[in-house]
Amino acid sequence: MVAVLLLTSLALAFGLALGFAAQRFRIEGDPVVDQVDALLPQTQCGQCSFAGCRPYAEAIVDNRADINQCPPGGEPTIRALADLLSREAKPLNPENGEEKPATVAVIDEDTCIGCTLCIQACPVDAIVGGPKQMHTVIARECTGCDLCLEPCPVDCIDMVVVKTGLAAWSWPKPDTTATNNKSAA
Amino acid sequence: MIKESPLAKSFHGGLKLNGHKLESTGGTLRSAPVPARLVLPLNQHAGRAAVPLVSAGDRVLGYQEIARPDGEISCALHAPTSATVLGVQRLPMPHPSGLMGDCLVLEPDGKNEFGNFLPAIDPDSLDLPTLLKRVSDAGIAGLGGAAFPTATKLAVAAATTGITLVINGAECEPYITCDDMLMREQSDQILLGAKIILDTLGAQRALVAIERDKLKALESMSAAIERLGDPRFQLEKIFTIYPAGGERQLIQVLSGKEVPAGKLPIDIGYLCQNVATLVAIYRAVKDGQPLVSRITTVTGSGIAEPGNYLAMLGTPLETLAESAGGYTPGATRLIMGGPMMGIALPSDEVPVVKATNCVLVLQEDEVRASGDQMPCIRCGECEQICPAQLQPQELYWHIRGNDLAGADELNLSACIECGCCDFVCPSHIPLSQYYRFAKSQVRLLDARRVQSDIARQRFEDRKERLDAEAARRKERLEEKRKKRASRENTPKAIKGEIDAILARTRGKVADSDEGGETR
Amino acid sequence: MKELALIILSTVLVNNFVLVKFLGLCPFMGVSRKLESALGMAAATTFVLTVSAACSYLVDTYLLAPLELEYLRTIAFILVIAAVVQFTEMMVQKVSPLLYQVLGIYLPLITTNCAVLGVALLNVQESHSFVESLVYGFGAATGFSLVLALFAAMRERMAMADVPEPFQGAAIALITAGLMSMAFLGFTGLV
Repeated sequence: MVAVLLLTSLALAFGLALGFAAQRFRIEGDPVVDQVDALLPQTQCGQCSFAGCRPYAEAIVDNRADINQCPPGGEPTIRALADLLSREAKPLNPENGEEKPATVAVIDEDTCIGCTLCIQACPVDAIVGGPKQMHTVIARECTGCDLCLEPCPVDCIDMVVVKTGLAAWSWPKPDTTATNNKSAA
Repeated sequence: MIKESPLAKSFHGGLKLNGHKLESTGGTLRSAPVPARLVLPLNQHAGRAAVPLVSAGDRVLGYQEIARPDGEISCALHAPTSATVLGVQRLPMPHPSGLMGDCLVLEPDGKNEFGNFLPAIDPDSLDLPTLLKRVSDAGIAGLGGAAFPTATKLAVAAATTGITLVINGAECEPYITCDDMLMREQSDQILLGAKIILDTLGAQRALVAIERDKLKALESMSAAIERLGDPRFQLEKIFTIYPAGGERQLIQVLSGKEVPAGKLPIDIGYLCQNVATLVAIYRAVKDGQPLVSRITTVTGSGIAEPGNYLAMLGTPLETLAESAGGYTPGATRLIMGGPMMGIALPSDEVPVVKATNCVLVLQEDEVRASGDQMPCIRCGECEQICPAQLQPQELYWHIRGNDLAGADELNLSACIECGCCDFVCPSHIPLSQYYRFAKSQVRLLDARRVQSDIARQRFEDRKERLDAEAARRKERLEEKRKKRASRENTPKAIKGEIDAILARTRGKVADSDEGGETR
Repeated sequence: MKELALIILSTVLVNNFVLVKFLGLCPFMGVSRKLESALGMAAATTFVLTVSAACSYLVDTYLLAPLELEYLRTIAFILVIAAVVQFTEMMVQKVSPLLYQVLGIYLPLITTNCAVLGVALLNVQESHSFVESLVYGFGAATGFSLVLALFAAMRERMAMADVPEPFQGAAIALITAGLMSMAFLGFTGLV
């Protein structure tokens, strides 16, 4: 009897203390989601099967999604996410797409009818124009998300690969396969 | 005043290398012939490419500006001699990527006519803004190999008072002797160029740094200092060790102070200028001559008559090699730069640019096959030799494991790519290639991150705008609904409202009739 | 004073809880992939061990012993540990939400960490006083943290190294742990 009472009172005491602590140490928002979102490429393309980069970030933090679902981010993003969250870096999930070279949208001005449907679709407002006015893409702001292709009724938008000149060139990685498990021969 | 640099002030690591200097210092400075074509890449300096000012068919005189700088960090280009402009063509660049780049191609007309585009200025009556403008107009970039626009470098330095000018005649990399020859033959001009900088930037003193085994250069420069009689100049004989000629290492040798990682030498009060750059500055001021040529060492066992050649910018390397007696049988590797930091070029059709301090041709037995790598045995030799006091082994493991963030934390950006670690590695691991790869990757990833931050901002702004519009619409609808609910529902009240609307519309139509505007 | 110093030396090196007593292996293997998360885990466990060692002593001496309810020791200690861990979770979430994310399930698993219960029970077995219990708990935690940090640093290096395929992952980690354990055997006889 005493045993039961003792344990119950101990449990109650601890419970009260914890409840009080929970109130005292509450936090607002979720800074981890911000940190994850900061690593995503912000194309808002939806290839990860979420409605944008932030919902994907929230899903990652909630463990509803894996870190290898972002094709525009590619391997560097997967690696950065793996580093941040101490999870294993896996190759990009082929179901979500594949890594492609960077592209920008280009509107064929002869065909454009000025319907503004692409302007409404662009998640970063990279298309300039008005009703019955010429539409054009601001190449520097275009993230290559492909979301403007579908709404266009006359199919006048093309995705063009960004020409990488000297500024975007980088040294190739030296070949490491030669040294893997090779004895000095 | 001649002062011996004490050995105690030195930098960590470094290598004593076989200099191979005597091959190319035998004769005097020779002039390379004017080639049939001059190919001038629009981007042969750090920063943005120059913008062409001429087009195909134009005839230009020597020294005429043919491309203007684009932005703050950029350089102008000038015609080395009178020629017809063939246009802008995409041609192979002397760049490790092997990529093509836009080049202005000129066909010299053989008349060698020069124009007088920049008036001569008296060096003694020169003020800072005039100097900066002249250096910029003359298209001068650092001729030690980095090709950083000199006007920008001087402008940054001018903001600090009481600086020390370091005249870099160290030339520590094997095979390269162009600065040595310049110091032997044009010592006065080097000092006069330095004097211009001392006077206009208000520098306290100038340290002339020369390696102690360059005896003829030391003789020539010390005699020139005597002749000049300016007490601010001090000759410093430094120990011959690679890479003492690197800006940061040289400053450490001369002053004992280390330039902090991530900062520039000017932040601790030192401005370093290559001897050839100083001559270019002097000529630009005194004679109004822009940068159109440079001294290039053509050497190596793959060249028949090694030596130093004054070549016009844009001279194809094959022409230069021909004037040096051509290639010897067995010549395999063509390198722009020295054996430690130079880049291998895929063909000799690329031109001489502002950064071409040396053309090195090596034979088969001097080149190590790149597949000769063995596993890292963690011997630590690389760490002992690194002049920047980094941990090459740790960097190697991190880069190999794709952990660029970890490599960055180990101060990868402080690596000067000198190649010392490469040289001493017993397993022949191409370490500096790993660091070049990682540095360029980090740069690319940072650029991507900046882009994605901007995109996120735009996305969130758009979301805000759409939400605000939706909220406003909702408000308006609420107001209308309230108005409708509050008004009387008698037929009289409704008729009154309809009459008001009709009157308003009629009024509008009447206005538009008068105004004559049709819709 | 000498007693306390001996307790510390013993719990940190000679009778290290992880490598010699083989308690608390779950977080040792599970959180040691990266040094940062390992250190975070070590800090959390130190807090839990020290506080729960003290609280367990108090519960045992002033509640269980007087009421002759020694048979309730295990369940009472678990209650104490669970409460302390819950509190620690809240603190970690407040101080570093990222660490909270990264540690994931391993944070509440400190409750079932046999080292924590082990310390509490060993304190009773050795009849330690309050101060001795506290120092014992703290020493155990320090030893745990030391080994966790060493192991995490080694695993970070091994992740980049050239490990033969059959050994990659947990295999080479366990082999390393075994070698570390043998190394720590060298401390036998120190105290």
